[in-house]
Amino acid sequence: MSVLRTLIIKELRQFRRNPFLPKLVVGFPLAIVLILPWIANMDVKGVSVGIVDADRSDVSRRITSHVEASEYLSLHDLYADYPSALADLEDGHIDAILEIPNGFGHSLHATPKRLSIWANGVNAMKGSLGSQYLMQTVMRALPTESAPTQPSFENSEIVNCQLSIVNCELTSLKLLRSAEPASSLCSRSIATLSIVNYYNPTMDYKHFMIPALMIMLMVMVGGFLPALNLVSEKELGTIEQINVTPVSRLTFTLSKLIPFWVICLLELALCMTLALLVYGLPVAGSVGAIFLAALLFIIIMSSIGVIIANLSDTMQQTMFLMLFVVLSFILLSGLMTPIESMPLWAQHFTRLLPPTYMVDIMRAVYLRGTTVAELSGSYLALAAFALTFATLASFTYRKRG
Amino acid sequence: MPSIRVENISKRYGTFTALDGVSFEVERGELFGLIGPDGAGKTTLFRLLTTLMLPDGGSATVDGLDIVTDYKSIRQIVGYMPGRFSLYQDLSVEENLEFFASLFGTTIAEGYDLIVPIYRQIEPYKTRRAGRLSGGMKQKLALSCALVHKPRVLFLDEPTTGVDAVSRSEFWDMLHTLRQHGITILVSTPYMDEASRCDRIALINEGKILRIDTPDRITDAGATLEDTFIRLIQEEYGKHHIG
Repeated sequence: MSVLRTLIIKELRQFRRNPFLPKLVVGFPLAIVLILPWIANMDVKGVSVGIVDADRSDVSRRITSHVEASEYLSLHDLYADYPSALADLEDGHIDAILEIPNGFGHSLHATPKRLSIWANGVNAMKGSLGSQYLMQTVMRALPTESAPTQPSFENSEIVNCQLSIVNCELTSLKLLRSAEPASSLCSRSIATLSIVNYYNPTMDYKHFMIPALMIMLMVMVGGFLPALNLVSEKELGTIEQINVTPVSRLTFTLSKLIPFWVICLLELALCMTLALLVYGLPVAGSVGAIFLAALLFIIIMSSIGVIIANLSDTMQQTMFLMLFVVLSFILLSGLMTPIESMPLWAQHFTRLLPPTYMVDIMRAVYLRGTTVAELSGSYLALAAFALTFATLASFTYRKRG
Repeated sequence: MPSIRVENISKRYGTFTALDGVSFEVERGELFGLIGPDGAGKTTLFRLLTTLMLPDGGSATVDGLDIVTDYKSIRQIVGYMPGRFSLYQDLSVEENLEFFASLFGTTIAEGYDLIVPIYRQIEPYKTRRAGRLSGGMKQKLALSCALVHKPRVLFLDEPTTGVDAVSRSEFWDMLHTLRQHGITILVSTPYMDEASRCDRIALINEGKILRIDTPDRITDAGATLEDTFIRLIQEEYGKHHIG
C-alpha cells in the first residue's frame, strides 16, 4: 500500500510539472460544456432563400415578408426570373429558390397555380430541412380566412450543385399534391396537429448533446491520457528502472490509472454543475446513477488504454490506435448520429461496443430520469465489458520479452 | 557459491542470435568487466540477469537465485543502471532517490552510508530536476539510485558512455570503493582503457565469449589490450569462415 502511495505521489508530481497536462485537464471540461454544445448542433438555421416573384401580388409580398421574418430562413434576394436565381444557387449564394408564378394570388380562389421550390442537395440535411421549412413558412403566410384552398407545389426538387438535377420529391409534398379537390376545401378546415416533446420540451439540441459530450470527456481523460502516460515510460526508458524493482505490474498500472479516475470523476461533477448553471439542465434522474455508469465506463476505457499501451512501444503507435478506437466509438455509439438510422448490420455491431450502452444510460438518466433498475440491462452490459477488458488488460502485459 | 553464475545461456531475437552459449562465473565482491564492441550482446546479458528478459536456452543464477524462477527475489537484491539514463527527468535529484528508496521499502537515510561518496557530490544540487543535470552528474545520480537499497549485486551497463574523461576516472574510483563493501559488480564497457581497472574481464563479441581472465594475463606480451582483442576477433572470424 505504501508503495502504491509512493507511486501515486510521483505521478501527481509529474502531472503538476507537465507543461501541458494540467491545462488540458482544466480546459477540456470547460470546452465540453461551454463551447462544444453550441457547435455540435444539428439544427439547420440560416437557410439562404432566393425568391422569384413573378406574381407581385399581396399574397406574394406576404410570403416574402414571412420568409424574411423566419428565424430559420434568411432572404438573400429577389430575382426577376428562374435562370438568374439558379445561377446564384450554383454559385452557392443561396440554398433554396422559391418561385411564385404570375397570377398565383388570384388563382387561390379558383384552381390554384403551383409554387415551386428548388433546394441545393449537396448538403443533404440542409437541403431537405431547408425546403421543408420554406414550405411550412409559405403555408403560414397564406391568408387563412380568405384562402379557400391550399397552394400546390409543382416542382420541389433538390438540386445538386454539380448540376445533376435529382428528381427527389419530398414525401410531404406528395401528400399535399394528392390533396382533396380544391372545391371541397371552400371553408378551409385544417386539422391542427399539436406536438408535445417530452423530456426535452424545447427540443434544445444542446440538452441532447451535453450528456453525450460528457462521455467524450471520460474517453479522453479516462482512456487516452492514462494510455499515453503508460507508454511514455516505455518511450523514455524509465520502465526499465521500475521493472528491476520489486514493484508489481498491477501496482504500477494502478498508480497510473487512479489519478486519472479521480480527475475524471471530479471533472464529471464540474461538467454537471456547469450544465446546471449555464444551461439550466439538471440531472432528471439520480446523480448516483450517473456516477455508477461513469465509474464502470472509465474502467472500460482505461482498460482499453492499458491494452493498447501494452501492445505499443511508442506514443505515436498508441495515439493512432487510440484514435482509431475512439473515432469508431464516437461514430458508432449513437453519440452523434442515431443508431436507428444505421444499416441493420451496423445496428447489431453497435451492441458490441461499450459506449453504446453508456450513451443510452447518460441520455436516459440525464434527460428522462430513468432509474438504474429500468436500465439494468445497460448497466449489466457495462459491468460485463468492464470485467472483460480489465481481464484482457492484465493478460496483455508481459514484463519479460 | 559464486555471486553470478551463467551457464551456456542463449538469446535470439527472431533469426538474430544475440547470445550464443555464454558461460562465466563472478565471485562475491569481484569487479568483473564485460568488454566488447557495440552489438556484442552485453546489454542482452544484463537484461537477462536483471530478469527483464527470459533466456532461450541455458541457465543463470544471481546470488544463488535462478533468473527464471526466482525473479522476484532477484529484484530485491540487485541494482541496475541501464545504458540509457532512465530516471525521471521531471523529478528532482532528491525526489528520484527518495522514490527508488521507497520502492524497495527503505529510505535515503538507511542507505546513506553506501551512497555517500557518490551522492555527496550531487547533494548541493538536490533540488534540481534530473533532466537539467550534466552527463557526469546524471551518472552519479543513477548510480546512487541503483545503490540506495544496498544491493548485493550491481549491474552497470556501459556506465561511462558519453561521460568526460575526468568523470570516467572518478567513476571507476567509486566502483573500487563499493567493492570494499562486498558488493559484486558486473560492468560493461566498450573502452579498453577501463578494462584494466577490473579484477577480471571477459572479452565478448557477436554473442560469444572469447576469453576470460585478469586484464594483465589476457593481454599479449608487448601488445595493448586493444591489439589483443582485435587479434582474437580476427582469429575467431577466420575460424568461423574457413573452418
